[in-house]
Amino acid sequence: MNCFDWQNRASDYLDGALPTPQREEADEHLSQCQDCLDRYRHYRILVDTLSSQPRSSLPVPIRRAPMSAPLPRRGISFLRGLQWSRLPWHLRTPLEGLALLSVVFSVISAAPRIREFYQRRLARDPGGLDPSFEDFTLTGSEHVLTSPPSPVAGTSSAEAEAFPHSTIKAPGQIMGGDESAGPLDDDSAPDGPDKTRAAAPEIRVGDSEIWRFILKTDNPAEMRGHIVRLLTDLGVPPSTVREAGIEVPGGIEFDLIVPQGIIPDIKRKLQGLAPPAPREFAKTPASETFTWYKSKSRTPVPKHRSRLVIWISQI
Amino acid sequence: MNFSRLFPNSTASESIEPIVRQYGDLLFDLCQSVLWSSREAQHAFRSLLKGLQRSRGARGFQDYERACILRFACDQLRGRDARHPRRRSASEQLELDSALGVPQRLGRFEGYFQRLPLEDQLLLLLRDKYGISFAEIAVILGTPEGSLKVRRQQALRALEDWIWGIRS
Repeated sequence: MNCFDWQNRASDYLDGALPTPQREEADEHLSQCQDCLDRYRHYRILVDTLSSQPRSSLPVPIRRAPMSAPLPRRGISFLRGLQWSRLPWHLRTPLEGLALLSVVFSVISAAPRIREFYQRRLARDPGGLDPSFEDFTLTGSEHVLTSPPSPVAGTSSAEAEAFPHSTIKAPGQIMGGDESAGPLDDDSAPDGPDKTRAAAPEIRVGDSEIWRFILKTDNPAEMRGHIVRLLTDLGVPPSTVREAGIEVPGGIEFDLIVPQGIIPDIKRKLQGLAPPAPREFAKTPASETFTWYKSKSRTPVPKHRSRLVIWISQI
Repeated sequence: MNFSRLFPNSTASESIEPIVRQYGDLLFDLCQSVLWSSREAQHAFRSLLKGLQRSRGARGFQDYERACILRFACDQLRGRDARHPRRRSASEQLELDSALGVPQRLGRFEGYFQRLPLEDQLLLLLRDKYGISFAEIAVILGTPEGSLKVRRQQALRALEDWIWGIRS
């Protein structure tokens, strides 16, 4: 008998149920094989340990009333053993479905709020305007200045020197050579009396802004030439996109990115270029030949620059 | 309609009293050895009696009564283990294996015994603790005798490896 055979018969050998010839072979093998002998001793200890274990007796209340005796509550230990996988499928599946639906609905309902938060973050960019002023159409009144003052970012003396101002005399300009003041007695000046002498410090230019200037004239082509010379004199490079203005249905449009520092000068010069309103439209809304407003740009604008849009329309 | 459930003192309930009287301790000890706690064993014992009450009916088990009752009990325990498997946690396993000497490990024999699969536990309990013959165990567990002997040897070897260490 070898070790393999002995192990196959170990159970009967432990119980003494082996036939005599096989028992003698097993005894002989154990006398020769130390491993099997140790294993037999270990098996014997294990079997003796099992047989000597105390037996639990049935509790007396259950013995007296097996079906009606109160049973101990499972309590916390039952809850500790509760696992999701142990729940029956007809409970688990609906609960999982409800959880999934609630997650989907919460994401869908949170999306507008996330977008609103993102837009507010955009509006709070350094030097940015209050988003309530977005696309706020003004005619150069004080309302713009009553907004939270945003510092003129990017305006430096060096930049101002790079774009020297020059004198421009536009036809129809009532005032004299003082370009710092707008038309004195021109009722068509859309700015209030305070704005006729608008100077650069009165308006503040910030980042990510669009400055729109709207001029009405009876000769848009001539005004176009004046504006091109104006921009060139202010130092806008000729290679700037759309400097020369493009003709669009309804008028001529200039759309370009310029340094922030020249915006006040552009405003002042354009105000000077604006022709007086025709007599028949005096003191009417159509008498405003020059209007301007600024708004927050939704598209990114390079720092220290602003987007300039000049619109020339036919009276 | 089964009126026995409406009247607990009916004949059907009286039919399980002999079972409780004769095999109550054996069944309760079997439940407690497998389920680890007296509280769970009592609950299992109650559900076992209910099952016996339903299955026995008016006629009792004439032959092989103990085998049939134990077979029913083992089926109930298998179902319970399938629904709520009881396993030692990782920390408990580490504590078992951290015992330094063989005597200490023998002192934690119950923990090693509960590591065995349920079928092996039932086999060792029925054979070595209750002294039931392999022929009767074959009826109880529904396994041939030869397979039972081999499984017993394998279970003992697994316990030996855990307690005395694995040898080549």
